[in-house]
Formats: sequence, structure tokens, C-alpha cells
Amino acid sequence: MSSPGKMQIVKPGWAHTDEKGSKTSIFSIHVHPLGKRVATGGLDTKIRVWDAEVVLDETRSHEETLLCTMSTHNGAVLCVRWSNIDGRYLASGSDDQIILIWELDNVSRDTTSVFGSNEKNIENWKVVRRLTAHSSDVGGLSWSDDNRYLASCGFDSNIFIWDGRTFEKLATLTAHNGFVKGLSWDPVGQYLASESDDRTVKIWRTSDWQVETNIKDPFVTSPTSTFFQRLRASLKLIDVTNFLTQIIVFSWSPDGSHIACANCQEGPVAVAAILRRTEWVTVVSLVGHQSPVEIFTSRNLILFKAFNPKLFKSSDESSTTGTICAVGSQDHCISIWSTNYARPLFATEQIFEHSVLDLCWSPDGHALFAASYDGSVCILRFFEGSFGTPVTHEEKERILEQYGYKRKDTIIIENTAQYTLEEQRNVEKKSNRILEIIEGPQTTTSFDTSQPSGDVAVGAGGSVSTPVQQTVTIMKDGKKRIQPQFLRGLSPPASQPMTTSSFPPATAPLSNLQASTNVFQSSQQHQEQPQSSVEMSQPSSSLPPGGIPALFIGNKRYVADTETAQPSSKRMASAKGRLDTDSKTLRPANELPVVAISQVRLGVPVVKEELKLELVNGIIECRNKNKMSKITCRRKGAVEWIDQVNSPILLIDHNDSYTTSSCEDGSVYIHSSGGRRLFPPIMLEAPASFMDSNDKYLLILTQIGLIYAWDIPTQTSILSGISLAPVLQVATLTSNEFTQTTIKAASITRNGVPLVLTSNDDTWLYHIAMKSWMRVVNSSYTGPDFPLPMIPKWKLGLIGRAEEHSRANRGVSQGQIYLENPGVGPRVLGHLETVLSAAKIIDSPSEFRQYLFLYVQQLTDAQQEVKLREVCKELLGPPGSRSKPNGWEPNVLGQSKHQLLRDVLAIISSNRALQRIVEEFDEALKRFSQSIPMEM
Amino acid sequence: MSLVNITDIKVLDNPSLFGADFRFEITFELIQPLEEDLEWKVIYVGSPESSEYDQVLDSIMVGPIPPGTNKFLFQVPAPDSSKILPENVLDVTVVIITCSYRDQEFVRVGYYVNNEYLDEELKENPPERPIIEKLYRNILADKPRVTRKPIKW
Repeated sequence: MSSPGKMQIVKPGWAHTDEKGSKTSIFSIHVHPLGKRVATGGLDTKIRVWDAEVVLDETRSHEETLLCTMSTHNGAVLCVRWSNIDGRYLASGSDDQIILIWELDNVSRDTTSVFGSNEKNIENWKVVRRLTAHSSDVGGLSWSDDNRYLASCGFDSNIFIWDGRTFEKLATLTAHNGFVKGLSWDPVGQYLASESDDRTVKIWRTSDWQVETNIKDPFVTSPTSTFFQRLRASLKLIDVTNFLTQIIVFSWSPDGSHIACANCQEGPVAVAAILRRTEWVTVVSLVGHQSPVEIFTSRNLILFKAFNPKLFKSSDESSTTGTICAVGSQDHCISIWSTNYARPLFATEQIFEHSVLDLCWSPDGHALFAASYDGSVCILRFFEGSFGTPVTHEEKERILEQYGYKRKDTIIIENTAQYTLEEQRNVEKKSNRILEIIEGPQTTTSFDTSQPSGDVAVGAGGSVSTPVQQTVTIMKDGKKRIQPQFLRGLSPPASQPMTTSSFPPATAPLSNLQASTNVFQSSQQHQEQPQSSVEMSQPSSSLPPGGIPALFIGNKRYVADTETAQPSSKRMASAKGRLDTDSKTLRPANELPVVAISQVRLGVPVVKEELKLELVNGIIECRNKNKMSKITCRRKGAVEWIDQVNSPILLIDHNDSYTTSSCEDGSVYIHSSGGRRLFPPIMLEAPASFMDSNDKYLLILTQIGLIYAWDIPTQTSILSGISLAPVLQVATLTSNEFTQTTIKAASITRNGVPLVLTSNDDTWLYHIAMKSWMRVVNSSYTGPDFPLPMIPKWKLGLIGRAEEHSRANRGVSQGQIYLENPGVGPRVLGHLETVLSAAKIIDSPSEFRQYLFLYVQQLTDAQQEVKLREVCKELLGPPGSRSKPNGWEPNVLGQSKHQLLRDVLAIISSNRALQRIVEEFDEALKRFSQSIPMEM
Repeated sequence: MSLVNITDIKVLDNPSLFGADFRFEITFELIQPLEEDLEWKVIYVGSPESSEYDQVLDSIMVGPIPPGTNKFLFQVPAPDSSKILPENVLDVTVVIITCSYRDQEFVRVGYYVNNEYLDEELKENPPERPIIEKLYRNILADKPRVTRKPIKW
């Protein structure tokens, strides 16, 4: 056995005191993970942050070790816990039933005095979150090792799991029948252990938050707290003593193999049980604290167990690692145990005047901080070698791996492909950032610099006052109402956007009214976006604001009065598009008998005296007179061609190769650019409601809701009389004039696929080969609650614009949506899969790429291996493609699938857990590129 | 715990004449958005014996308040000396600032106020009817007493 090293007891003089200067109990103590600060919480409702370095450094004076006093809680502070790793947050639980999350405020660095007290704060810790859920005292808090979760427990016998970043409530665990005394996360990340007054320890799975196992054995005879509960109502102070005997800090050993529980009884002796993982049986009982014969049993409870964060190898037996464990007790003593020895390594005589209430090891494992009910803090310092040699981080991880420990950032790179891809990505990341800095002014950093200058003055404020800018209004009852001057937000500007995200701007929900007026404007804005027009046709803006009104009859309860029978007339009068509408309206369009019997009716433009269509270097004019209409095309001032048709013209459309005029009688005339009629007029069963042309394709929506599309130069039909009814959801929507689905925009893509945007912000396409309508953008996917990855606006393609449009109408702009939670789940994936395939159908290569990468990123973040594999396989093509296999295209939308796969692999490499996939497909790609030249 | 936390109150124009307005510059923090305004009051305690002589100098509503640090200037008129018993005008009394949410008071800040003549002669032999114009008010600005109450937010 190695000689036990030396131990030094330091009493730093830290205390919580009441106004008269006498000490009040300290209920909780915790050391910051970086070892510099220590937080204490006590009966005086205050939390204090102390400078631990000063105390441990003997050469410095002990003055000013108190860094901050936080007195926001209304009740005794029962638990304080720093978040792990960087210790950014401090969580505190109190008997006011509230959990507060604190963060260091870097804005006001100056020493500030605490209002209403004599205390000065050197550091400024501020509340950034207030978590309410417990219906009774919050006695225990625990952060998971990776800070992903914060668990809280208390008297209401519930355990709540909070998100460690957003602090949203994730789960409520209610299986305990008595109040929950302590919580501890498994370092491997599989389990959460909780100890309750119902004499059980429950081990919860973190995967589904169900109970993995229920441990009863060691606790069967342990004293319960019925005594305390009975007294609680009347004797608050005594209460607290007894109550705290129940809040038991129990903990997992750092190697994840054991869990220590206090408050057990073995025969008549108070013990601390050590339970082994997976079997969950008691393997060691730490006996040694005074027997109940000498002291009241209830006074002899072992209160706290805290495992030393470091594992130690004993110096002589280098093969075995031992865990060091500290045990605090109500007999005012602390003992230190090693799992390598049967007897305690150290045991202190009564260093406190009262029970030990909390224990915490320093991160380096060489100091133990203990707080007592007597209101004092004690530090036990152990010198190097006291416990043997600390096990290195790597060794510890190896041990944890036995239990399936897996952490993203510690997965070792196994192959070179992963490595090179990661390197590439790092470079890209940097350049992306530069882009962001240059292009994106709406980041939090810019907010930072635009701090109102008044703020600085306030921080420096002496007795001099700075003028307050406030708005004073007099309310109805004559009372003054002051709008205060806003100095700064809650969280320090240095923090991530997540802290601000929980307070969405109050303006977010737009009323329907506003939204509907925006519709047309936003689609016009889309028109102005220049970039994507190279590849994509713009959705036509020649539709009136509000879209084409639609009406269904027959299967609808709809009162068809005379006005609504011609739903177009009123609204269309205000239409403004490319068509010049200044001219006089002659009359509403005639209603054809065929329309009267149709189930779906769309609005039709009214008959105007004159229609004008501006061309690049000329103008097309139509003059409607009674039965005759004259079309005149002028270029550079000279009349180029003239034609006469014998029905009033309702719509004209023009592109480089032909001009289309649609007449009231349902005829459609197509003129070449030189003015020749390309073929005899097409006769439709009803007049056109809407026309759009894109290159060679012409799309017409007729008044009775049928859609036609032709390839004009080859004189072939693409679509003939396809009903719009599915798009308007005739079958499902109840109709009245206000909730009626209308067509907001319709267009045909350059590969001849019709796209329709409806007033409920869905976007539809018609799959020609499959002869059916398909919904590309479902408005329910674009609501404010639906986080979609952000795409820079100028990159938006057709689908992107449809999506953006749909969102804009819900008061959400792209900027407000960001990838908050990578594993958003099936909804996002489903949506991305839809738009991805849609991009393929409408032949939009840039969008296909964009969505493919987004999709892969989502899959990567969610570690969806099966789907990723499928995507990669599709891009790779069938194996052994030395001879060109049938049915496999090496390109998709003109882009090399293999090149896409390379980019996709680069994205997958961002998650090292998926490196096997990266390696596999990287290898396969190499084989391909080797085999192709050989073939040639 | 309170959603509103007073971080500082500056007492401006102190000391001043008895008849001058009270001016408090109040800085406070709001942790979560509130649905309603905060009501702030200043109460002058006219008599140490009875609350009968307490005067509410003014009460105002403050809002809307964005979460974060905010400040405003609360200026209220001096107490009506005719409503204070002559023997209570001089000497030490208290001025209280309170804040309530939905008619529930959750914080109360009290300051000691000392009213005295600066004129030596008046100091020695104060007249029976106080001469308000020569009376000075001194608020013990660095010793606020803060009482907090838990309320339903």
C-alpha cells in the first residue's frame, strides 16, 4: 500500500451571513469546471461566487475573494451547479420552486454595488433564464457531462429534463413516489440516476427517458424522512436541517462503472453503497462512520458522496485504477475512500460544528470543497501523489469506451479520406465566415458595436446622472405612463443567438389582412431578383393582386348570387400587371354556358377597350370594339404588323418567338414575331383566365379550371384539359368567398412543367409523366415553428422563392429561421426530400444541389446512416459499371453525380461518427475514376 | 423570485429644498416579457406613529418594457406640508418607492429622509410653525432598505 500523502485543511472564511453578521447555513457548494470560481448557496437566499485561486494560493491575501453576491431567489438556495466543460452557466435551485440560470455579464465589467446592500460585486452574474415547472422546492440539479441536458429534481417527486442550450423543458420523469433527493448523470451518457425518498434509486435511459432499473435493496431499512415531512409545515428552520439530510448528492464514478448512494443502512450501520453498473447490485459498502449505537440513527446518515473527478492509479500497483470517493456525514466528518482499499484513506475529525451538506472536488482532483450547515466552508487539499498518479484523459476515455462511451468530438479519425475532407471543410468554413462578415450585417456582433453610447455612461456612472430618454404618455385615467429607456438586452452580447431566440419579436404574427396585401408585393420583389432568372422562369406577375378568384359549385354549400357568379368582375378591375389597365372597361366578360355548369370556375379578365403590352423595343396594342379586335404591333415607332380577330381580346402575352392573344370566345391566336399566324386559332371550351409562356412552352388556365400546355414550335400538346380541382382542393375545402382557395400564380418552367401557387401558399407542380398534381411546398411546413435551414436570398431558385413566399405570408422571413436544432426530425427531412425531388422534376440544377447538400447536412447531424447510404449509392451508381450499365445516368440535371457525391462526402465528414461511410464511398469513387480512363 | 430586479436608484438633486420635486433615476432588469405595465409609487411617510399621514406623492405606470436593463426618471412633487403634523415636519422620516405588478407589490425601497434648517438660528430655535421655504431635505441616498415579496407573476 502506498503511503497516504499529506492533507491540508483550509478554512477560507467564506460564509453567508445575515444582517447581524452571524453565519447562516450553506446548503450547496460547487467548483467551476475551470477551477477558478466556487459558488455557494445558502439559507440567506443568496448565491455567492468566490475566487478559489486566491484561497489556494498561499502567497496571496485572502481579501476580495468574494466575486459576486446574487440575491434574486426568494427562498433558501438549495443547490448550485456550474455547467460542465466551460462553466458558462450556473444553475441554482431554491425552495421558491424556481431554477435560475446565470451567466457572466461581460458588458458591465466594473465593480458594481448590490442595490440595497453594502456588498460589492467584482463580477456580474446575471439571470438569463428562469425555469418554472417544479411545484415545490428544487433540491437537486445536475448537468450532463456534455451540457446537453440539465436535470432538476425536488420535493414534488418529479424530475425535469431541460435542454442545456435552449432551456426548454424536454421531459418530465414522474415515476418516483417520494421526493427526489439527488440526481447524477452517467459519464457515458446512457443513464440518469435518481435517488428518492421512496427508498429507491432509479436508473433512467437517456434515449427514451424510461426507467431502466429500479434499485431497492440497499435502502430497504434506511430511515425515511416521514419525520421531516410531518414537521415541515410548522417548523421551517428545523425543517431545513432534516430536509437536507435527504438531499443527497450521490454520484457516478468517473469511469462509469459504479454509482455511489448514500443514506443506506446495512444492519444497524449507516453505510454508503456502491452499486455496479448493469447488474446494479451493491458491491461495496463504505462503513466507517460512527455507529448508530453512539449517536442517533437519524443523525448518523451519510449525507454526501462525491467521486473525485480524476481516476488514480496507485503508484505501486500500476495495473489497477481506483476511484477516489469522498463521503460526508451528519457526524460532522468527511472521509476519503479509494476503491482500491478497504479502509478510508483519510478521515477528518470533526472539522465542522454541524453536518456536512455538500461536497465538491476541484477539477484537478486535489482539493475537496465541503460546505456545512454551520455556515462555513472547508477545503481539504491533497498533495501530489496522495492518491497515486492521475490517469490521463485518454486512458479514462478508453475505460469509458467499455461501456459504449462515444463522443462526437473524440472519435478518432480512422482514414485519410475523412481527414482531408475535414481539412477542406475547415478552409471552407473560414471563407464562409468572411462572406458572412461582408454580406450579413444582421448578426449579433453588429448589435454589439451599435450599443447606445448612453450605456457606457451608465456603467461608469458616479453620482452624475445621464439624461434619461423616456416617452411619457398620459393614460385615459389621467395617470402617467412612462416607457423606460432600454439600456441593453438580457444576455451579454458575447453569447450565442440562442439566448435571444426565446424572445421572438412581438411583430412576428402578422394578421391575415396584412399578409394578403403582401402577397403581390413579395412576388414582385421576386421578379426583381436577377440571378436566378438565368436558369428559371419567374413566376408570372401578370396575375391580379389576390390571385384569380375561384369558385366551386355542385358539391359545395355556396350561395351563387348574380355577383358571385361572375366572381372576377370586381376584383379584376383593380388588376395591375404588365397589362395596361388605364383604359376604359367596356363590360364584364360574357359568361359562357359551359362555365355555368362547371364545378370549378375561375375569374376572367374583363373586356377592356384597350390592352397594351410593352415590349423591349416596341408595344403591342389591342383595341376591342364590339365584335372585332385589332392587334397592332409597333416596334421603334413603326407599325410592324396588324391583325384582326373577331372576338374581344382578354389577355395578351409575348415572348421572343411568338405572341399569344386569348379571346373572350375561347379562341387563342398565336402570332410569330413577324406577325404570321403560326396555326389556325386554338379553340378552348372557355376563355383563358391566365396565360404564361416560357421559351417554347405556353400555359393557359381556362375559366372552368382546366389547364393546357403546348410546345409551340413543335406544335405538340403537353397537357390537355387537366383539371385544377386537386390543386384547389375542391374535395376537402369548404367554400365561402373568404376562405376560398385561389390561384395566386401559375407558371411553366423551361422544361414545360406547370407550377401553381395557391392562396393558402402551397406550391403545386404537374408531373407530366405521372399525370398527376404534386404538392411541392406545403404551407404547414413553412410556418414560424418550422425551422428550416437558411438559404441566402440571392440563391433562391423557383422552389426556394415559393417557400420564401409562403413563409413571408406567415410573418416569418428567412432571416428569422435558422438551424437551431440539427435533429429537427422527420418533418424537416420529409420536406427536404420533397423539394429535392421537385427540383429534379422542374429541372433546376442549382436548387437540386442546394437542397441535396442541406438534406445531407441534416442527415449527417441526425446520424441517419441508412438514408445517407441510400443517397450515396444513388449518386455512385451500380457497382462494376466498367461497361456502361443500363438505366443509370452518370449525370443528374447536367451535373456529374460523382462530383455531387464528392461534395456530399465532404458534408458527411463533418460528423466523425459517420466516417465509415465517407471512407467506403471515397474508395468506391477512386475505383470508378481509375476504371473510366481504362475504358477509354 | 422576481422577474423585475432593481439594479440601481440614483437620487438626484439631493439635498434640496423641502418643496422641491423628488427625482429618482431607477434602473431595473426584466427577465421575461410582462403582459402588463409595472406600477411605481412614491410614498412619503408623514408621521412615525400612523399611516394616516402617509402621502402617495405620485403613481405611474411603466411599460412596455423589453426584457433586459431599462431605466426611467421618476419625478414626483414634494409632500403637501399642510397635511403633515407640524411636529413631524422636522427630523427624520422615510420616503418609499414601491413597485407592483397586477396590483401586487413585490418590492419596496425605503430611504431615510432628514428635514432640517441650514440656518443656525432656526436650527437652535425652530419655530412652532415650520418655515417650509427654509427647510431642507436630505435623503440618505446610499442606505436604501430593500424589501422584496414573492408575488404571482
